Amino acid sequence: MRADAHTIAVERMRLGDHAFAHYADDRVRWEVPAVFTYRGLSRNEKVIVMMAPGCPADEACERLAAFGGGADAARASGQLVFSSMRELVSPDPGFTARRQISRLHEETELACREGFAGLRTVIDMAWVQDLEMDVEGVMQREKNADALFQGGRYAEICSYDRRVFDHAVVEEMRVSHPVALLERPGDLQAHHAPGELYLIGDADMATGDIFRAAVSVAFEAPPGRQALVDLTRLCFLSAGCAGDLLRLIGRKGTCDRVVVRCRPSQARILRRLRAMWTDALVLEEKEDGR
Amino acid sequence: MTGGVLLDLRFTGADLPMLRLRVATAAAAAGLDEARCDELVLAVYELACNAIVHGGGAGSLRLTRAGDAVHCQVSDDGPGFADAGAGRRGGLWLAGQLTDGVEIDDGALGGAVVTLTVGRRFGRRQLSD
Repeated sequence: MRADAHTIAVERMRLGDHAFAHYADDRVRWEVPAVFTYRGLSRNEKVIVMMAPGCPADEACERLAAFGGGADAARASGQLVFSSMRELVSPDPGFTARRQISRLHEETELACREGFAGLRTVIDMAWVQDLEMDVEGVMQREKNADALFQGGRYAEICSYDRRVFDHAVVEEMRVSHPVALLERPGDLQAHHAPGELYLIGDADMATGDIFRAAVSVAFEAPPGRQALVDLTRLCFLSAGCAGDLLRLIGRKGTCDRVVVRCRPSQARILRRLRAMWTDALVLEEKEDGR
Repeated sequence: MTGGVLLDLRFTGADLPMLRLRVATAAAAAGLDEARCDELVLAVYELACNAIVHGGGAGSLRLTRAGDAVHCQVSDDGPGFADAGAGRRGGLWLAGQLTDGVEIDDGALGGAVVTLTVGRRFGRRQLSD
């Protein structure tokens, strides 16, 4: 799926975010929830994982544990909870947006009373079929849940299986969520605008070809012979890719000036490579690209 | 901080994104702040790439803490650093710049063993130096 202005990697999520995620593979389906969960646990946030119907809590915990340690301990302490949409809305037999939002408010309040910084939930949207909910009703809920996220105490991922939901539904969900996630941790995607390049995800050995191609395209014929390369939505910038960027800026081309917008940690890496800088480079530090 | 093993695992190229996540999570849990975690993750990544590219396609990582320091040992089955080219030494150099100490040893059965140290209370290196 294409990247745009509201695409980020799951690592960049924080409380207050309402995100769309997608998968079409049973191994991949656990990757985003795993990163989301462990990031939350490390920030003293409570995490509720709402699995697909039929997935036992023990299996879900085992799946998450495969990506890192600490899931069992967090579950035992109550910081990590496995549940389902059916369980969340019970004793009501069916789903209503009002009931679900009310229950999530309650769970957020409970998490804060328990001493956590907030609550994050990851919801496998397979519950839609389980509770015989119509897709239009879910869309309405997704588009009218803003109050849940105000105040920065709650974050949520709604994860869609592309094998189950129609392409048009998945695309509408992607567009209507305030945040859309890359499919997998470690992915790199580029979002181009005239004279501007936004890089999202991880720039490393595995994604280096994508990185170099995207930068090269951005430098082909930018308006006014100026280009912006925004790195602030990158989760990881390897030294190799940082060097590649500086090499491409240094090439004789159609760019007279390249603004590299980056976070302080990325600026420190680029400064380490100062020997490769040219007069065309302007470094613009920004704390967060969100 | 107290002592203990935080991570002990084998990795290949396909594991690198999750390796970074696990190092970041473990380092944060050990008390390193976000900037120090970022630098440790990058340093570990450079060494892991060295192991994959020059050390036989795989390596081992062991993250421990002792007192106020986190130590990360990356080992591989390659030829070691004796005849290493600029590319491999570049990764090692950067890892040294990003952390508070680097030790290089030969593995007991060959290969290279590199240990990084990052401390919560150590003075941070100025990367712009």
